[in-house]
Amino acid sequence: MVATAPAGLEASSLVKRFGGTAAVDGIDVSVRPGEFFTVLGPSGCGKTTFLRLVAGILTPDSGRIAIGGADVSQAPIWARRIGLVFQNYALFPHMTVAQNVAFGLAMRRVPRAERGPRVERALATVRLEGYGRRKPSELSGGQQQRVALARAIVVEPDLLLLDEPLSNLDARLREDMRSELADLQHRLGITTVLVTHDIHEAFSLSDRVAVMRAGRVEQVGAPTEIYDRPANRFVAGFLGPVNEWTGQVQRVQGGVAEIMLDGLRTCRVAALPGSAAGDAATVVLRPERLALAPALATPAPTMSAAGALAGRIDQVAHLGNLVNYRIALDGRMLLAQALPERSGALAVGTPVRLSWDDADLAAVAP
Amino acid sequence: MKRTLTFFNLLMIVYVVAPIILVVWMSFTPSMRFEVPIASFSLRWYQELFSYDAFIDSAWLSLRLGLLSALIATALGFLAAYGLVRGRPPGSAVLLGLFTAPLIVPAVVYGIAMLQFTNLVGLYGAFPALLAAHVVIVLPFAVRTLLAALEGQGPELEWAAMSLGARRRHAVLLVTLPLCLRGMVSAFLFCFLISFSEVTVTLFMAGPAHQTLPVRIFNYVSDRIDPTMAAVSALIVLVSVALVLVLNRLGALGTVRK
Repeated sequence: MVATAPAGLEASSLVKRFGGTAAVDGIDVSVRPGEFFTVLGPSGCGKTTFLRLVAGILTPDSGRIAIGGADVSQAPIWARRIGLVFQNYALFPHMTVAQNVAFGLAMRRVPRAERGPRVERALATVRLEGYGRRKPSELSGGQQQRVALARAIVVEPDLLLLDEPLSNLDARLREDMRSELADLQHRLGITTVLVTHDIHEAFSLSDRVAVMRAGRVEQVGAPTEIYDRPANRFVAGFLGPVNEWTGQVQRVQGGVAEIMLDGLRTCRVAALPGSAAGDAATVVLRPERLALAPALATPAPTMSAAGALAGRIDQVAHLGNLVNYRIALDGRMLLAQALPERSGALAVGTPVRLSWDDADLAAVAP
Repeated sequence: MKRTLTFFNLLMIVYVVAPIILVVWMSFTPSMRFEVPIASFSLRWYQELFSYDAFIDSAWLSLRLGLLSALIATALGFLAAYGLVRGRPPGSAVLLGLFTAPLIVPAVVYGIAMLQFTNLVGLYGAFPALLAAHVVIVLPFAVRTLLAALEGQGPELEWAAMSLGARRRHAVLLVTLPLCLRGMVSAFLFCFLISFSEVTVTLFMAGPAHQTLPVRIFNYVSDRIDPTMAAVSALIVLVSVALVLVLNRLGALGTVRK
């Protein structure tokens, strides 16, 4: 179903202002052909504006957008060869499912005889064979969103743009649709840009993720990359809870920084670009990387015991497959996440020893 | 409190409805005078009415004027509403105020103004001038009705259509318009109703050649009085009630009175 080679998307120095405020404030993004790319950010960060600029719904104040190498910055939406899927599905309620899917074929002047088979194939792709004669209102939310997908891909667009497509679905259905979307994108190999505020959605679907804040891209990278090596405190915190220490860079050598953590000890972490001895530093650690063991059990498990700290469990949240602990030590709180013990979660008040592997620490920009 | 309210409501209904019922009732009188028939009924005044050519001509004129002005106002109203809703031009509140200004300007003032204006441009008593005036009078109703219809429809549908290769005019024609058909019909009927019953402005503008039905009645009554008036009034009431029922079914009455 895919037209020739998939096209990439190139956005450079993109700016869009509404009144005095810049919703998109100089974005540079390069999406590779065939890639599943996600723009992730809190509401109001400008991610939807970015998508609308790419779609041609909005015109940029400055900057350039190229799809498949062709500059489309000023091209109208109907000339951009994109597929659009919205949170509210945006199916044409007065048309049947088949008419919805055929709409783009008619608009693109595909010969009448070809339309029927192509509609059938598109509906089969989203597992909705035989639903052609129904009205959208007769379908469930998940089915409606699949029709919207079929309608978008049937015209073989260069670029598929998804605007929070799963947000209106309930949790269970959302997970099903997520894996279906991933399958579909892999099979068709169509370059896809997803906009979402849902970290799980972004991580489970994307080859690469761009994290946005206040109109700017804070970091771009593969999910593991940005999760384990967040560029700054915002990215670190947005992608999940972190334990945070401040400190000072002692020396930098061969890309590794030696940082003195305030009130603790020195640790060796990958250096931030441009950091030098004497700089203030912030170091983060994910809760699932913080190992804890009841203080009586010796020796501490496999971790290098070098950084072992003693604390006391302050709060316990059992999630079923995991347990979240809040641990009090020296007047501050640390977060740890662990598999439950066979005997259940550790009780509040239990003294624990905390340790971690320095390789799991990440230095972040403020 | 509630009882008092019910009482006043009833009083209002009686006050508004009773005269209308009386007129309809009187239209069936066999006698020469305005009176409420008790024992015998007759259709003679309807016969009288239909044999009076001037009334038939006026009815046709009102019908034509109503249909045409409603058609034009609905088309213009859609364009105005579409521009206001989708374009969100700066100062759209002011524009909306302008579009609905004819509701606020007293009809007498507008009538005199139009009389002088049409005189000035040499169109006094001409049908196009009358039509233009009616379009202006009914336009607010079209704009309001269609504004509500369009606001209920998010822009995503048009975006989806345009992303599939439809130019804006095709998106509007194939998606937006069919989806506010109900609003279009409401607007049309509304405008027709207003135009059909408009007296004040028309009185100033009509001239002898173009007496609409309400104007004809007005002139007739200032001359003499007989139950023909009751018959013609009954017919107008019938048409109006029918239209209002249809409009109510379409849910359009709520949109204009906000």
